Amino acid sequence: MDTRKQLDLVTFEVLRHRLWEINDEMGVMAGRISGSPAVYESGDFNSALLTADGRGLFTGVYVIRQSAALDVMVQSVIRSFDGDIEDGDMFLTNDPWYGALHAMDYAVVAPVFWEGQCVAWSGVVMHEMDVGGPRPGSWSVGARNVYEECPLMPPVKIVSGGRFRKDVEGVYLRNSRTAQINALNLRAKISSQATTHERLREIIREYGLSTFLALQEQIIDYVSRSVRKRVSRLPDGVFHATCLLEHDGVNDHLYELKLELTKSGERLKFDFTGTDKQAGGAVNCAYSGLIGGVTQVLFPLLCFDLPWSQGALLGCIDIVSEDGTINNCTFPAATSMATVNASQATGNLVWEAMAKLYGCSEELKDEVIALGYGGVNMAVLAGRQASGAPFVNMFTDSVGGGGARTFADGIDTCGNLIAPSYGIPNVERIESLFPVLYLYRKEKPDTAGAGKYRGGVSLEYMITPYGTPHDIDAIFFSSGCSHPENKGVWGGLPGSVQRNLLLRRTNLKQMLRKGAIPGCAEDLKSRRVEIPLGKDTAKLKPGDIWVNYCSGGGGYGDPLLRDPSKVQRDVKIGLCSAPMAEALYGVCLDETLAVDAEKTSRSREARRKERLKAGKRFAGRADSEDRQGVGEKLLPCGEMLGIYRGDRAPVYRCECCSKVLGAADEDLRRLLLLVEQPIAELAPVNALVAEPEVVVRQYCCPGCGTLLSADAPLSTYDPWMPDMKLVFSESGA
Amino acid sequence: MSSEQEAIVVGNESLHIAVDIGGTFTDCVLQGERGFRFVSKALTTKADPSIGVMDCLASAASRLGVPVSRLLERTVSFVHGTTVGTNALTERRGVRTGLLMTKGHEQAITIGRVRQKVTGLSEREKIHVTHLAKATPPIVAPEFIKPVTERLDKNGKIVVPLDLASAERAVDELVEREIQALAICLLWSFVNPAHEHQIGALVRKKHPQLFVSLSSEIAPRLGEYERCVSTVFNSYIGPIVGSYVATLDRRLKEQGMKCDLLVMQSNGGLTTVSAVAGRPLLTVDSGPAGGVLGARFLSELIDQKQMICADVGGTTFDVGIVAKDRTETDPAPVIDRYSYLVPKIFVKSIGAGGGSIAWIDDGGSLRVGPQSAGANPGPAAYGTGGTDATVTDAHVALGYLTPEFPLGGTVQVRKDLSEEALSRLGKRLAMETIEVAAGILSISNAQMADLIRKVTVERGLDPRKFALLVYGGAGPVFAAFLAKEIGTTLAYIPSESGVFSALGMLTTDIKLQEESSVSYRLPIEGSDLEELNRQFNALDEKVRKRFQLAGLGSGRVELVRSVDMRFGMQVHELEVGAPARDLSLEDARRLGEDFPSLYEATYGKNSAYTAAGIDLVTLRSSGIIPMTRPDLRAGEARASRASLIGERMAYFPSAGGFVATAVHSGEHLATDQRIEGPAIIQRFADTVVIPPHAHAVVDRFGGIALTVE
Repeated sequence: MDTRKQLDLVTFEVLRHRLWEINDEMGVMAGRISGSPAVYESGDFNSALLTADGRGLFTGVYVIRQSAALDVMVQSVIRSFDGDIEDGDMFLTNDPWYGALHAMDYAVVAPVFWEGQCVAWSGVVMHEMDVGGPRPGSWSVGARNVYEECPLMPPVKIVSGGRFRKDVEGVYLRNSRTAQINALNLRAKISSQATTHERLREIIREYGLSTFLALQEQIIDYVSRSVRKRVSRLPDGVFHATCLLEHDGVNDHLYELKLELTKSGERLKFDFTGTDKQAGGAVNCAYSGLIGGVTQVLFPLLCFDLPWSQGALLGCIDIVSEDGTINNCTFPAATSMATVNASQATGNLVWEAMAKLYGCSEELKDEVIALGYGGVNMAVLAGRQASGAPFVNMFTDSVGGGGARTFADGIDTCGNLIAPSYGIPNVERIESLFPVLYLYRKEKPDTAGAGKYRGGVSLEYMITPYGTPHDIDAIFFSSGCSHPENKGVWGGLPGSVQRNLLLRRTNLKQMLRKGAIPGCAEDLKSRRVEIPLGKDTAKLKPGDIWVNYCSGGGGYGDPLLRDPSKVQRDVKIGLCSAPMAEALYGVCLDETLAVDAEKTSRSREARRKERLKAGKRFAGRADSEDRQGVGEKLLPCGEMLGIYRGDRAPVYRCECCSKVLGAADEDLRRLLLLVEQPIAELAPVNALVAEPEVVVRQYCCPGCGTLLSADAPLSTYDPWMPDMKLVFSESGA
Repeated sequence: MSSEQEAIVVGNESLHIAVDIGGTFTDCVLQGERGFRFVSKALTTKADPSIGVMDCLASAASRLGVPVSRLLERTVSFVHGTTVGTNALTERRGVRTGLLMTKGHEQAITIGRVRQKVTGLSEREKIHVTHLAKATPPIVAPEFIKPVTERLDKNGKIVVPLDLASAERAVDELVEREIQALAICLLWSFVNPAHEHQIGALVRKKHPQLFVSLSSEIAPRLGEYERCVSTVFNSYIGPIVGSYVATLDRRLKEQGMKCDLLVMQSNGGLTTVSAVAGRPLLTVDSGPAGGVLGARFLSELIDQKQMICADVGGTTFDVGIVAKDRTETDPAPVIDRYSYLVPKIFVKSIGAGGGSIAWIDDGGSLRVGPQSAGANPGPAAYGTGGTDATVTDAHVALGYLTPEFPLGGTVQVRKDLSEEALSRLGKRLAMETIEVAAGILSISNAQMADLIRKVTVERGLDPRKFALLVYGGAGPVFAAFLAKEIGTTLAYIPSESGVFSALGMLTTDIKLQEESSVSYRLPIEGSDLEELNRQFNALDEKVRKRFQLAGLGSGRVELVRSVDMRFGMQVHELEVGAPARDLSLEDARRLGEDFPSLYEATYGKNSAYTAAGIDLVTLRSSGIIPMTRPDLRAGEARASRASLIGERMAYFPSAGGFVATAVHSGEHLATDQRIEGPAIIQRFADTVVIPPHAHAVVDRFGGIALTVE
């Protein structure tokens, strides 16, 4: 078969558009049929089209990492069923070592045949509400290995030669607490793909097989070319990121993940070497979660105007990782919480490192975004309705704030941007289905990471069991409770931590009877307040209260550079309290909430002086080294730095005070002043972390005290570990 | 002058008039009782759209040689599609609106279910993730939202009683901040509206100047976010829409009109000036509904049971569906990232049309749209400053459009400018000018076809089994190509394709609807059935009351009922007709029996999951007063006259180049005349292109049926 055939520009554009729409339709059709609110209300699913050898052509705009991992899945099906893949077969699996992210993400992948030849693949993944195992919802808090979790199903033929396998379905459904919904979702996955295959065969009928095959290669080629071109225009350099992952479900421990991103020429290398070994609980992700973790961020950042073709993207990057680590675990590690833990953390590393890289590019500076919603803070409630009927529901409305951009604040109550089309159900929808009452659901003030542009604020809600006499099981699977996960970039500060609170035996009933509705946990009297750990379980009894709030997004740029009128606006509409306006931004308001300009400017000046006074320098570094003449500006470097031509080599220069900080091929943070701050000072809710293991580190300009870089690592972590440095060619830029 | 025209001028024939406001033009159709039809257009006057309405009436009158009053005196119905409400929403020119919401949930509209940041966006916009934003500026700013202490549960039971005094204080504060309208949306008010009613009554008494909307009246459906958006929308545009229609009604009456102005609603029915005043939301995005109604009417006339309606304008391409003379309801209409709830005829739009700009992306690929040159600067061919090559320029270069026949009867295209723009693009692509033009045609055609496929396939429908009805200014050029691309053999172009939406508005009736969210699991029997009948009767009563309030009396009102049902665990609902009487056990049983097959016919084979049971979730009662319709069927056979007026070279991809193409005059076509492709029919306002291997047959309504092989 001639796959080298070159399509003309017009046919290519016509068919590229058609394939993209076909993939979107497949997702829409599957969503329409689905019976799970996580799918139809929240969009916790995805679809993909792939080449005959399992390279992704298009990824849908739902939860990106789900379909990003379908490449791994199709390729492993091809390997393990070599010679036994026939027309009319469809494969079902939830096995992380075969490409599923975790056990709940049951996928159906299916080859598309034309005259006896496999010519493409399709796949649909949905997060299933429950697939069995020790905990309702299947987030296996407490499981130490795969044998203690929900059952895994390596790829099996759920449809064989066009015949639906009732026996296989029986095995699958037998293990689930939500068998009926899973059965419906299974039909959704199968029938949407059957329609899609017919649509693909229509193209072949119309244009011929060779055109169809050439089209696929050309899409991959087109996206690869565009990505390489984009990457090649970025400066060369090495960029580091670290990330902490909290509580593995068994051990209350902060794990560390590391990334060294090297940009060289037209390639990006993501090296995770040094990441902690796989955990003794279910937060690990397998290789699938690592790949999905990387591409879930690179699609939005590198392909913001290109088709989301996984096959192409993976061809443009190198991923280096040690087997047996927390984001590349080996069997039999437990993985049921992989998605929102190790895979999400992998993405956090990529967001952070890419923000550093993009900050040094005039062209892509506006794509810089701080971290938002770095870790999930969800829970499953399960139990019985008043009628005795069982229920299981994952509360998908726990959402954080978006990361700040170079041109705007982060989106308030944004949700996770790796799932752009994610939505939360209406309170009325949830109350109509499950025995709970929402006392409130609102934006939580003082959670945003401060910055010239702040992060988005998060969501907070308060729920009480309602209309059922039975106890309700709660399973918490959170991270970012004991440390802020949403780092700021380029001087922006991290967003708040997130939390769950359980108020036991409250006076809610009396309060409601008196005609009052609590507006926060403090409004209620309770016998006891429990703060669940990151991963935890509990029972809710009538009269108990569950409060959930998430982390705000990270900020961008020094908070002291924020327009005081923006701070004032936030205070007026209740997103920022007056004390925090002063503490974080140095903005002073009078009793009418007008900005006191003079006091503000004094307060900001004092802040800078404090930084200069308290700041520590990297050992052996003196100011004299930085005195040299500068030529023209070569590159931007975040909000307040520039790379300028120097006497010998390019140098960093502060745009605020014009001070030259040092050579641009030196590690940035080592040229700056370090000021440390407890996390409790960033957000009132951070004070709930009893003995924080992390500290806020602010790296400032030694000339004027402008905050240029911030981090929130373990306090034991060496503050002078590599951050970023640029690599210049002989010519100087 | 024809005899009908004479009848108008002399003044003994009754007239039906429809005026539809579009983005660029205001369209007007005058339809005589006995079949005479006359159309006119005027530029839309955005600041005061009623000027454009009067302008196009004046234009028609002057061409007929009579004063406007002569036309209006003869007018027995005047139907109007307005964009005043839509524009006020999208341009944020509504009145300052306050919102009262259940305490603890007052930010629902701000949070926007988180998904607001992508709602209604195209795929292209969605994937630019770092640049997403929620609706900006918000339709109601946070400082104008006030909490009300009260809470109901899902059964409508009071959890916390209403603190009316605090609600009153909140309203007073808002009034002090000079709000002109108020929206009240409380949790579960669609189950028990008592709290909303209490606040509403108090506010109407204390602040009679405020425009007040209650969510339990505007959108009594589950889902506080969308219900809240609908209620706020209604208040935000209320005073503006109300005064606009009242003013227009007055102005028309001053000029001699004896009948009352009727206003088009997005649900496909008409309403009155006084009824609009309370529910202006129903006029929002009502324009496209006119086209779908026209299609429904045509489908009977030309005996095509299933039609895809394709409206090709300058900047947007709209697709709707008429299947077995049913129109489909849009489950989640969107305006500017806000999802709202109103019964609205389904129409899906993308940015594509004559003005779509061709460009080259980073990967060196030729792309078309969604950016449009619009009317200003317009396509290069307009010679009004536009330099980007557009779809219209491609049509000019390919020989479909020529300077001799001005676009829409007014714009004279310039071929040199089109070719210049295309050749600039061609140089960068190493393509000949004509190759670029043909490429733009294929790509834009394919994009439109993709939308048609999407709209049909997602519903389990096969577009090849539909007739394609094409209208809108640029539609007749595309019709044959589009039909071929989606694999159907028949494309139909109505006689006045440029004003088809306005024409469609003359085919519908006055319709006022009430609905309520309910929760029944089938089978419905015993006390459930009694309760359901009680609820239905209450809805009927509400509808009758609205007719009375609208000054229409309820005597002539015909009541029609329907219900929305869905499978137990699924979320997609389907509207099913119900008999307009107390349902018997047998009636209720039949609803359940018919549902699975109806569901599969809509959402595709295997989409029904019967094991989950069937829920009945909405009751709807519609009151209809049938309009006396002009006889649109009364097309009369036209005698054969020589229609061939010349020949020009036109490019057809299937012919591999330019071929000599016969040019016919649209005004001289005879009924049943058959024209073989390649040919071009030059009509007053548009151009019908008939490619080789296609032929056109003119029917007695002046429409053109294109058969594509």
